[in-house]
Amino acid sequence: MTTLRLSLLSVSLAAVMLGCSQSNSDNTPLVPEIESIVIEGTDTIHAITIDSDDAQLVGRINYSDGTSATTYNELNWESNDTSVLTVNNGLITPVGNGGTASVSASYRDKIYTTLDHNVTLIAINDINITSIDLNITSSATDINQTGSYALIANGTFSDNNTTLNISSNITWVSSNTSVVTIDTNGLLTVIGDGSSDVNVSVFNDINSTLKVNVGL
Amino acid sequence: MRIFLVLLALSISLFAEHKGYVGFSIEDSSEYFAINGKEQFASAPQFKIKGGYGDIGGFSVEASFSYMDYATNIFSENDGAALMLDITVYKGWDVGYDLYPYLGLGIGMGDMKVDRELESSLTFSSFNFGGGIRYVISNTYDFDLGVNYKLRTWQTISLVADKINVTSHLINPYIGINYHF
Repeated sequence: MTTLRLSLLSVSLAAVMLGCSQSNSDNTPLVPEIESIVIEGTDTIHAITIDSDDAQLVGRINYSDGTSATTYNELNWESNDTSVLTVNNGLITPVGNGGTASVSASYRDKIYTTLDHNVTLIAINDINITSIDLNITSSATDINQTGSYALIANGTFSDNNTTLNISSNITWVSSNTSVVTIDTNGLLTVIGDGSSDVNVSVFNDINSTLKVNVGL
Repeated sequence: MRIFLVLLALSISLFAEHKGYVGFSIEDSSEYFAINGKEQFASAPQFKIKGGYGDIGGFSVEASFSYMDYATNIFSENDGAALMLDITVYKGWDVGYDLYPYLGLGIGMGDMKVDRELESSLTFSSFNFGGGIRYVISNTYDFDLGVNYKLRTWQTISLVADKINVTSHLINPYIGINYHF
């Protein structure tokens, strides 16, 4: 009886071994593979960023099935010269007044961009203070009423003397805050009689001064 | 020495009651994948060694170790072998004629070699359910025939800009033999 049972087992084992199904002949993986990462975005940016959209780089991931997708926050971004610019989540932050740095992106320290992406900063050469509220002549203005007045800082850049409003991206300082104060966006507020220099500066070496004389 | 004596006593006890067993089975592993709107069946023979403890006509618990290697590529151009560890609790019934039908419920985990840019292997876990019948050949051997269903959840696959979560459905008809001691 035991011999019969063992024979039955042997036959069954052989049947299953022969019956094990074969794999599908289509051997293309269902999950696409990552072929490359390419950085997309501007290769020039003004040294004072006006529009952050202009400063945003993205990584385009190309897949083996011909599709692609973009991302910026999944990648680890690096600048090879942080004295020129830094990059975080693909967003470029200018640090110096001009220069070129190479930006690369990586993922888990395994995939690197096939080519580094060079970004050149367009240097700012000059700043000019104007206002639509005040009459400014010879870098000076006279005010005889209390209130607040909007100052505008126009920056002139080295690319064909492009002029851009940079009022919100620079440093404003009043030398005499008992006369006028000024906020980070260039809004001047009259406090009392007297004179004060309003200075706007960027990168420590590009600056402009407006003399404000208040006589209430 | 004390541990040795305890183990020796335990072995003698198990042998006397024939509650322990080891076995081997051959399985047909057919797994269904649906990823990104595409689907694929992969199948391959699967080989399992196992060991358990309990009553063939009652409850028993079993640990098994399996090997499988699909020829079909699912995750990469060069998918490799998978190794699996399963823990299963069985409930069997003695229905006479040396036949013991059973049901099993368990969990598993494993690892499959892949050749991807970001992953060299993918882990998975599974929920297992199955049933079968054991036919007692002799005092120490039984013939085992059954089928398992496994719901597998795979390690998330990164595509950098996207992530893919994969679950698959696996059917394992199998035959095997167990030695009781």
